[in-house]
Amino acid sequence: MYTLTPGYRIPALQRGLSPAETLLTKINAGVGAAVIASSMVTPPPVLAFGAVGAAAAVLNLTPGPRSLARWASVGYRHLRERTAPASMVTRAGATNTWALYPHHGTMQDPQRRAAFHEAFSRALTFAGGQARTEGVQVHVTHHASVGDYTDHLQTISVHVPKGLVSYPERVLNTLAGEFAALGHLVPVEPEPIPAVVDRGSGWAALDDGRYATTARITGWPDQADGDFMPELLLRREDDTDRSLAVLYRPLPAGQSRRSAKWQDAAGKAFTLDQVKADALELAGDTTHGALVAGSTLVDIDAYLTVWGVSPESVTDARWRTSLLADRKRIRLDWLPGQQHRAHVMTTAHGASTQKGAIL
Amino acid sequence: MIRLPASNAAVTAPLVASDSHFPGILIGRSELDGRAFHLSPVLADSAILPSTNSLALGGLGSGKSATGKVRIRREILEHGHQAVVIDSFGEDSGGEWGPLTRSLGGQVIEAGQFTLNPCSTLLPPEVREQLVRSLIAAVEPGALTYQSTHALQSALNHPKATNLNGLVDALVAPEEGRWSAEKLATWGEGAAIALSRYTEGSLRGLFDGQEASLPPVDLPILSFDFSHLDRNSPAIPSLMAAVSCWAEHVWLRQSTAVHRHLVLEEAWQILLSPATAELIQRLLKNSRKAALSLDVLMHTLSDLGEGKATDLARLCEVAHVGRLNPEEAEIVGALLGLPAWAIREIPNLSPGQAVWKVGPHVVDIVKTVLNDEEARLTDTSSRRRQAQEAQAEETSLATEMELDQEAEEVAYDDQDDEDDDPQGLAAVFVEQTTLDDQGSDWGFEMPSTVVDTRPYFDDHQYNVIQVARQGRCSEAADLAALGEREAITAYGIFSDEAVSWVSTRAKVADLCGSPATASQLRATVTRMGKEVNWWDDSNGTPDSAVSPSPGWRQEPPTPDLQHPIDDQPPGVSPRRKTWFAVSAVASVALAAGIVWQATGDDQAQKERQEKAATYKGRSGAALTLDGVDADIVARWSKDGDRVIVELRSYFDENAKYLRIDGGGEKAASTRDEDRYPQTPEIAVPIDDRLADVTVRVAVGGKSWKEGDRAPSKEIRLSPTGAAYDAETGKALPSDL
Repeated sequence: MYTLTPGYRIPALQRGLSPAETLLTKINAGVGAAVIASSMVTPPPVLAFGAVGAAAAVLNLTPGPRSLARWASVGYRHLRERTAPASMVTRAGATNTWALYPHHGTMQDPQRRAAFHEAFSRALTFAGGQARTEGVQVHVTHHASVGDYTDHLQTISVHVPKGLVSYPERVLNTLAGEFAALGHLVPVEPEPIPAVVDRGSGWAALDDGRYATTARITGWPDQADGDFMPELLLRREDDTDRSLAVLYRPLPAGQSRRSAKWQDAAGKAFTLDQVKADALELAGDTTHGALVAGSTLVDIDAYLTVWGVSPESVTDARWRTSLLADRKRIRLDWLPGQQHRAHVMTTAHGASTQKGAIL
Repeated sequence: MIRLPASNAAVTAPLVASDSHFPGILIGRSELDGRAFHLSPVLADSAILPSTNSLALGGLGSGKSATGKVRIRREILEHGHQAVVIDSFGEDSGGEWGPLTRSLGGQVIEAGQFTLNPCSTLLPPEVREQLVRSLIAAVEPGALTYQSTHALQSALNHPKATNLNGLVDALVAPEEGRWSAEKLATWGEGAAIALSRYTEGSLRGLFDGQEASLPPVDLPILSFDFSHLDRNSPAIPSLMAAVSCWAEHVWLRQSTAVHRHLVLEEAWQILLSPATAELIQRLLKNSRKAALSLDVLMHTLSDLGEGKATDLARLCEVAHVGRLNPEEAEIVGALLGLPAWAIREIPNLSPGQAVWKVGPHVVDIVKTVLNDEEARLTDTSSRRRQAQEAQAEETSLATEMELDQEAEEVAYDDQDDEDDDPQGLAAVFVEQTTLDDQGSDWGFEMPSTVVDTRPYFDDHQYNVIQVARQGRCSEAADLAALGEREAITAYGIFSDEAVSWVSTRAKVADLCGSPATASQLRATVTRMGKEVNWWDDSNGTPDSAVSPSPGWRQEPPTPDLQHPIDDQPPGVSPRRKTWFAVSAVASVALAAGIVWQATGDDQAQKERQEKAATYKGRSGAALTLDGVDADIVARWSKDGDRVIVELRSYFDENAKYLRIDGGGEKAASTRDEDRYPQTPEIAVPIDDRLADVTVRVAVGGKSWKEGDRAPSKEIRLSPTGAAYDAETGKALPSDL
């Protein structure tokens, strides 16, 4: 039994900002500090407190799934971009993609499955340990085209950003060796990203004639057996083509420990509900145990794309997928306003995207 | 985004499908991941599949035969392979493989239709000897000794040995050679006796022919059909011996196909006989050299005994296992080395699904995919399917009728279903159609509602009553309900025809011994403003329907319509007009009746709702009986099918005896050595959770002795929380 509870849900602001956003944040902090410092010299009128409070309240408004500022960014992207921008995936750095298929029967046999997951976990830990700071990204995709028969296409990609390590090729090659132990590994060249030719409410039409609607997986079931993914992806419940991708950003060991420490401290300090506090403590114990055992912390970002051949079929498929997600205790956020770029995340090209590529 | 330890995050990796695949024909769809499953063992890399033999196991109807057949069919059509089938199982029309063989342009050779001469010169000398030895071994396994083999050898060289009769003669009267004739004759006795079964005994006619014509070797498929023989017939091992000898020495040497298949259908009887098992084993071992695949189809391996089964499992690299029961699945799984998850699945497989093991590592669950043509050719259970289809039709008919009955909210006592007689039903329907045809003899055109349906319905009703008289109650009830529905569809719910059908149903109910239903149905007719047996009255005959004589309906009531006046349009006769008036009055009456009924229902409904609103599901009362303070407490169970009633005396030291009974349940307790008696408790079954429950409680006080009659009280407990003395109706104080 794997617990997916100790997930430390990173608040929206920490999800990751683009360099421009980081710059703005820093300027904001500087200006704020200056204002506070000046108020030490000359006490401001009482009205100023009200004004600052009101501004803070407005900025922190979160209508729907994201904050006002984030809505503004999404709106801007929606207006500015007709299709996924090249800058989204052409980040400087070294990227390699392989097709990876576990050996036959691995997912059906509980022992072999557990061994597979353990090996994958070791590979992630190893990837995280390749640099002093976080940055290595491991991206895994699964695409099922369902007809009379189902075809599965699975890729695994690694992206090492420029400047993170001196010899990115070396990291890529060692990781290829790790992955080769998981199953049948073949280098592949991913297909180019299809361009968006049309957009509707909740879907994007691509130039290869398909219609896509993409969701971020924002909630996982609390407890999952090892066969959670096989059950989700292999069981034929309808004839919907689906792609699912998970982007792993493993942290280096030191950073994992610091993160766990702060996570634990925050849980203790800010949780008034005793039940929740105890739950967090249990989760913290699990994390602690895993870190002691040599594991590392990994940021997980998962996306699910549902395909159709017409706007109606894709809308229908999306509805059926929502029902499936409910049954599987998965929460989906259908990413309003970002469908024109969200579908990239479930292709192998999603490996090199940075945090905040999809808001 | 969430942050998780890598060990937990690994479970979210969507790396779930494998990409293992084999070259060759399409078999079906993998149930593990939905991929298409292809396999032609001979095309696979010999490092993965050293041998190409396959083993198919599975219970009856698991689809192993169908899978075997489509595999052979596709191999022949796509890759030009050849196949020889030994088919020892089939329906009475012939062997299972017959249709497939014929569709592929092959030949079916039936056992008993051909005679083989094992001493024919068409066969090489060593084959002759081998064949005769196998024939001897098949009937008398102990007859082959060193000496008898030698005697046989010299007999085969005898010029008389051109057929089996000659050979027996040569064995009995041998020629002098290296050994004396007497010695040879003694040695050859056993062999001669064994062979005489083929020449004079029960197996005569199979091998004692003079001329030997061998089956052609260039056909795509050849099926030896043993299905006419008894399953345990001694001829089967002998025939098997002959066929395998022919296959080994003639067919495999002469055929030019790239690859050959020898299919053993229901192979257990072949493999159980030591003589044939040896032959098969040899073929299995030499199969690779001979470009041959043995495809063995059988129920399970456990019939074979451990040694043989293990050998077979070892020699067959490809195995597919259809549904088996769990014990057999365990045994087969252990023999084939299947993983535990696959063994668990075997008992749950549906027809056509099988666990496939290909080579040492690949285990998959595959559903064989058949196209229409293949489904037709491989269908072995046509009789069973026919039976099922007949049943399905009947069920759907019955379901329609049930729905109809429900729609009308007329409770009808469904007769015992077991006496359903589909043939009788069919007979009645045939009758009705012939009657139908008679109705079209009118010399002029009339609306369909006037012409043929009236006589049909009336006679049909008569038929229904007849059926009921014959004791086929359920059938009659069904037919009546069907007729009523047709009448409602054709004429409307308040029509005379519909009403007459309700009466018929009442009659049927009477005949079938459910007077309650009959009176209910008659009440329905009366409420509709009709006479119960209106047609009888109109004919001026009294209700003779009650009398069992079949003179109930002398002739159908079609008086006015049979000779209509020519200038009057049909359907507007004066009689019709009066019926319009009658039906109008009836519908008004009915509407009034419904309104009246509905208000009554409303009242009851309202009261019930009020009660439901105050429903607590618990009730209790404090009692004092015989100087003992006791509480009676009733709790209604959540599912509303029973009430738990307890009688508690708590710590009253006076209590010596407590008893509670009601609803057929009873519980009592006495104070024995304990200080206080135990609390008796009963569970009273109830139908309506809002109804009150009445129980009788008896309590024995200080002075009570064993055998005394303790003072008792009857108490009515209401689910609203109140409790009443059942005799006086007085409310009792609550226990709370």
